[in-house]
Amino acid sequence: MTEVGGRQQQEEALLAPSEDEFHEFEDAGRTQFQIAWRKFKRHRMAMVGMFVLIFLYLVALLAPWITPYDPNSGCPRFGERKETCSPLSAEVLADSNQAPSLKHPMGTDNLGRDWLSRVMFGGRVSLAVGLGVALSAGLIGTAMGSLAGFRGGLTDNLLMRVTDIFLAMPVLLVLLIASKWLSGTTRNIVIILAFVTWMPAARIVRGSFLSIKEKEYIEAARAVGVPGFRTIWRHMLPNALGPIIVQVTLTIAAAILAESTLSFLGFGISPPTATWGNMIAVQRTTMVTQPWLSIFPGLMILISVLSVNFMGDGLRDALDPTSLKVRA
Amino acid sequence: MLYFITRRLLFAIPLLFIISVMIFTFLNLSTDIAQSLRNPRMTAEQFAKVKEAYGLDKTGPARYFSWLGNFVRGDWGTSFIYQAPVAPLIKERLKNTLMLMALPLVLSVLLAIGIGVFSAVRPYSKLDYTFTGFSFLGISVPIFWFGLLLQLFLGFYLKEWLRLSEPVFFTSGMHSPGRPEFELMDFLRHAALPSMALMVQLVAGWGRFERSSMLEVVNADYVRTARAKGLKERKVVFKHSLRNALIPLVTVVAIDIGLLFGGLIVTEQVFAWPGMGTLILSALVAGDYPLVLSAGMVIAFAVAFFNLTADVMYGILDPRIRYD
Repeated sequence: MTEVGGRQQQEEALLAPSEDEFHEFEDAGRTQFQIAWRKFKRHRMAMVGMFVLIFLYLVALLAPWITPYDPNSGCPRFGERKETCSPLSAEVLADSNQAPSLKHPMGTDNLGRDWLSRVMFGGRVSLAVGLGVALSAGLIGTAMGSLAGFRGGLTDNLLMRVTDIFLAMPVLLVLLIASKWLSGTTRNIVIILAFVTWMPAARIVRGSFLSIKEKEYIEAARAVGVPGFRTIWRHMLPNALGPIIVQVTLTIAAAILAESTLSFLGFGISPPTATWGNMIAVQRTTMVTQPWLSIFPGLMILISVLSVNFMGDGLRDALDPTSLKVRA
Repeated sequence: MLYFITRRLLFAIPLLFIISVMIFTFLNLSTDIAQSLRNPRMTAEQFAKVKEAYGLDKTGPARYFSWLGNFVRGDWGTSFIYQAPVAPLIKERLKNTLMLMALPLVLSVLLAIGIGVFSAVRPYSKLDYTFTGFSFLGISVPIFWFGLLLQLFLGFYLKEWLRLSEPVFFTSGMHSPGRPEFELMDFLRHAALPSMALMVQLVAGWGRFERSSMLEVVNADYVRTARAKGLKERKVVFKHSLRNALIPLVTVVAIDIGLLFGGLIVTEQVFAWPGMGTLILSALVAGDYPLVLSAGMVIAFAVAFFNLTADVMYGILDPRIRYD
């Protein structure tokens, strides 16, 4: 039976309840997750974005096992030459400044390093920063927002003024100065970026909490003496989750872009650790002679950010209970 | 309204204070500006004397408050790396930044409105999907990388392809060396590529925004009424819908202009544009705190000012909004 036929039957069943009424309702009753997933699946670009992202994250995760060459020394990682090869040896340098070929799909740089391997390892850092920042910013924002929205009054006022201050900051300038101070490591970059990206989540959560707080089930929870934290955790947060998920997803995109920008300007993660941003910065001088060395890492940034943005768009449509229209 | 503006302006003062403290603290923790004044042949006593002459022998807080005291009195201090007063330096660079911003801003607003209207009039059409695709590309592309591509394709390859001795679009700087200070064509050939890099993100963001605000409006009751009256479609779209759909865009544009003052750092760096961005960047690298602080204050003020402008404009344009 086709899907359309099945749906039609269901609708008929709903309109004219049969004797087996409870059974029919079980069929029609879907969880929130299932409803969202059905909407998300129909957003074609979001699905493409999701699969591309899963692929990119898998490659990043498995990079140490699947890259043919070492990203920093340029030596082969497998085979018998692995033991004898050393960085900057004649053997490695013989392969330097190669154009893309079957052996080196993205070419090699002046130190004979295989650019594909370096792009894969660079993606490890860039994508990890994206996810790390999004999760920490989501956590901070949710904590601030739920406290402000749940408590209200003075707490709300205070926390929202702090949020306002952060929102009114010249972000890039603060980022540059902060990363100049805490420069270098991936962990520090994640902390710095989370520091300037948590505000939208805080505002969104506060907004939802203010309206959820007025609902009867929260009053009921209070009436039976459910403690504050449990009320937030069990009754309020699940109902505010949709917009948070969308925001966290979009923060991944912002964080990947911000990290690459910082690294490009020389304030982010510094070489030899490869990130897509600092790879482009280093190869700026070879832009005319070997454009592929900067084009490939940039293309990877573009593809991953684009995928995240499409996915965020799909999630926004899917998780919004008022949206009925489904985009092709 | 006046009360609202006053309150917001007063709120900006602690904001600027907090930002300046942050800038100074981070900068002071990361770089010792005194080292830049050091000369290998200096003896320890001589170095101590130089430090004293610049007031660098004092503690961090003392230096910060002496900068703050002078700053509010209009004396913005002397830059260490440029060895020149900060205020005229910033004024000159700010002028260059504004020159870079002006044209792309106007063009971006017009393009964004066009995209928004055409997408919203026929949503989910081929044209709409094309625009949406380009918008997603625009908001997802790293600006510095896009700038490099522009330099490569429209700067270098175009020149090679046309077999010219001089590129059509210059890839760096504001005017060619040896030319008179300002010449319109020369300036435009230098400004073209950074303007394009700038416009991509602006048009993409604003276009999408205008599309959704148009979509909200075209289903409004008063638009249906306008149609029911038998008005021409053109009048319905441009007079009744667009005018209302422009209100939210005005605020977004205002906020983004403020953010641009700081955000231009990347574009200016890629195209070596002698504006505020490159000034701040060079000062940051050296830890030149009087320059970074003063320039940072200008940028932070611009952000706060344009945020306020956005809110005020919203209040003026939309009679449903009242500030008390």
